[in-house]
Amino acid sequence: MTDTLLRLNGVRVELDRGSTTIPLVREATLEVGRGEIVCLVGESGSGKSVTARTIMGLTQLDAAMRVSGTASFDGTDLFALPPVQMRRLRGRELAMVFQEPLSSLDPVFGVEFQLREALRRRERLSRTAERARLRECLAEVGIHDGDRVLRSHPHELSGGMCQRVMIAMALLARPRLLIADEPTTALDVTIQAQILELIDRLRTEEGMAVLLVTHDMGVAAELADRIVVMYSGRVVETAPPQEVLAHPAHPYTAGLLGSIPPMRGPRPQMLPTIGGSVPDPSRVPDGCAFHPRCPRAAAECSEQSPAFVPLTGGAVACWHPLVEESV
Amino acid sequence: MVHVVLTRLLAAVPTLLGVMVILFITLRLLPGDPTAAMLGGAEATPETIAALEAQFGLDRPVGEQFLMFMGDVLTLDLGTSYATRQPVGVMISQQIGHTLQLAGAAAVISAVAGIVLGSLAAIRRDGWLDAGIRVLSLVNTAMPSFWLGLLLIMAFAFGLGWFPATGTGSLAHLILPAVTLGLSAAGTVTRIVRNSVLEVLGENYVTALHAKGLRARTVVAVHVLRNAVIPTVTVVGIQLGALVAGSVIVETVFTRQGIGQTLVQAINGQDYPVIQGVVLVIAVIYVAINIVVDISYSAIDPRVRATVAR
Ligand SMILES: Nc1ncnc2c1ncn2[C@@H]1O[C@H](COP(=O)(O)OP(=O)(O)O)[C@@H](O)[C@H]1O
Ligand SMILES: [Mg+2]
Repeated sequence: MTDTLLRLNGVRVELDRGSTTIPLVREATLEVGRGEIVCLVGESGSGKSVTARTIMGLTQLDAAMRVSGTASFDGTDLFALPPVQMRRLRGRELAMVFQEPLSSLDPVFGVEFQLREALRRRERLSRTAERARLRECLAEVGIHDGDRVLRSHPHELSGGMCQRVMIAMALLARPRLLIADEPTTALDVTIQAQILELIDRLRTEEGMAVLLVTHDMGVAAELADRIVVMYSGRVVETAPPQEVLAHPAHPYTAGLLGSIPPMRGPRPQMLPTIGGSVPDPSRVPDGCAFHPRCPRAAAECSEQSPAFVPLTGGAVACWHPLVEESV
Repeated sequence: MVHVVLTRLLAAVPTLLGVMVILFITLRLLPGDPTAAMLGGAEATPETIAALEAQFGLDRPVGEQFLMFMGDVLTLDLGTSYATRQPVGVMISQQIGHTLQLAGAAAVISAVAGIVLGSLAAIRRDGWLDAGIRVLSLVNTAMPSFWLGLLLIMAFAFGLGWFPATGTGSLAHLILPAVTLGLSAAGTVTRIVRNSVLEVLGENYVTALHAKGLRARTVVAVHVLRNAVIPTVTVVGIQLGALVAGSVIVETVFTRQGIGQTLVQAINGQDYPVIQGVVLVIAVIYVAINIVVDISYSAIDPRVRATVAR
């Protein structure tokens, strides 16, 4: 694909614990095209957040983290950039929205101050022009009493309102890639839909690409141009949503679908809901990490890690995928 | 806000009353005879002694003496010194400026040293700088201030001759005592600030601030410090009160004027009114600092401001 904005290849993130290193992300390989929404899905503990923060260069701020592989953003190798230049990309080319809106704003500063900080990363305006720009941006995210919100402190706002402010803050960067890490998990169901709709609309209006992290297959199926499934620190399947829904290739993907309410379209082949949970990064099983939980596991599954092989519109890492490999 | 201050002032009354009752009783239970001190070692007939006791009310029951004392305090009269026959209020007002100057300078030194060292240690967590600062603050906390004072006198007064060893008056006279007293509190402040900064560095919003592309410097200096200072304000406030009390020792070491010196002389001379007056003033300063600390919270933390306004 020529119009790729972000390409991760074999990204690995390890936590250096002195005597041992713990792999938090073992192999993240994915692409995000310009203006595309890519959903990164997987159970909690799969390494989605670590992957997202690594793209932003945030993981690397922790001296105990070791990052390898390549992350190419519009032709720039992010991992090769000096920290100063990586910082300059944040808040301009790259922006991020987090899972916990209430704790993601500094509690002692007002909303206006924090939004101004973000705006000034992008452009220098007069104070009145700044204020107008902030009000305009808040209106874009559906906040119409902008003046009141600007005067507020984070604790005076609801979770949904804080998340809108966070999104507005990310938009002030006018990023080419927005990374949203479970932006609605902490919110009420009704607010969730509004926020997701907002992200989808802004993607269209601003033409920015979105990497949306979620553990909800339903959300992914609804919004994504492409779904990336992650398990135990590894990307195990990527495919367009209609492919994933109709023919999930990895048994884990099928399991995720089986554990969500029925969707539009043909109901996918079901597996009995997957028992157990994601292994701790310090005790990842040999071979395919999913094999102890996999109903289709065979001898080789516990011995060797399956390679990532191409498939119609995507790829899968599995010894015994649920569909024929097209090659 | 006015309401808050008034409530706090009212709440302080029992505290002050308690301090004075305990002090009053303790002084009179301790062995010794204030009239002997009044006479300055001169021989006196039993009649003279009885006359002195009657003059200062020492022949009355302790309870009555206390009520008389408290009655005087309410009219802002702290009594008359047995030794100098001067009004205690006048004695204290002549000396308190020196002490407040010393404690104030020490407070600035301990706060600046504590905040700078504490946040450096936190940012360089587990590095050699952190290790060094931690050892230093531990040694500093364990070291009595009179000893530190003597070391500083030996090094900077007798050794290098940069500052006078004793006396009061100029800035040069202030530096060694202020450093001594300031450092006596700096270790504690450093440790509190370090823990507090570490805690804040782990907060989600710090990651979010980095994600905005702010400089690491800005994140720490603008956001982390202000958040980290909130829990340290209480400790610094308590330390401040302790500094006024600690000045008693430091003033003695440096033979520096101040209410500390006044207090020590009064204790040696069993000069009850002066002892009572000085302790009462120190207690009032303590209470005042606590109220200021409470108010400063709402200046720093908007969440507190909201509850105070309500
Ligand atoms: N800073 C960290 N230190 C140690 N372990 C971490 C850290 N961040 C994440 N992990 C571990 O890495 C694994 C993946 O975490 P995460 O990326 O947050 O998962 P997800 O977002 O998919 O739920 C988890 O086991 C988590 O405990
Ligand atoms: Mg996560």
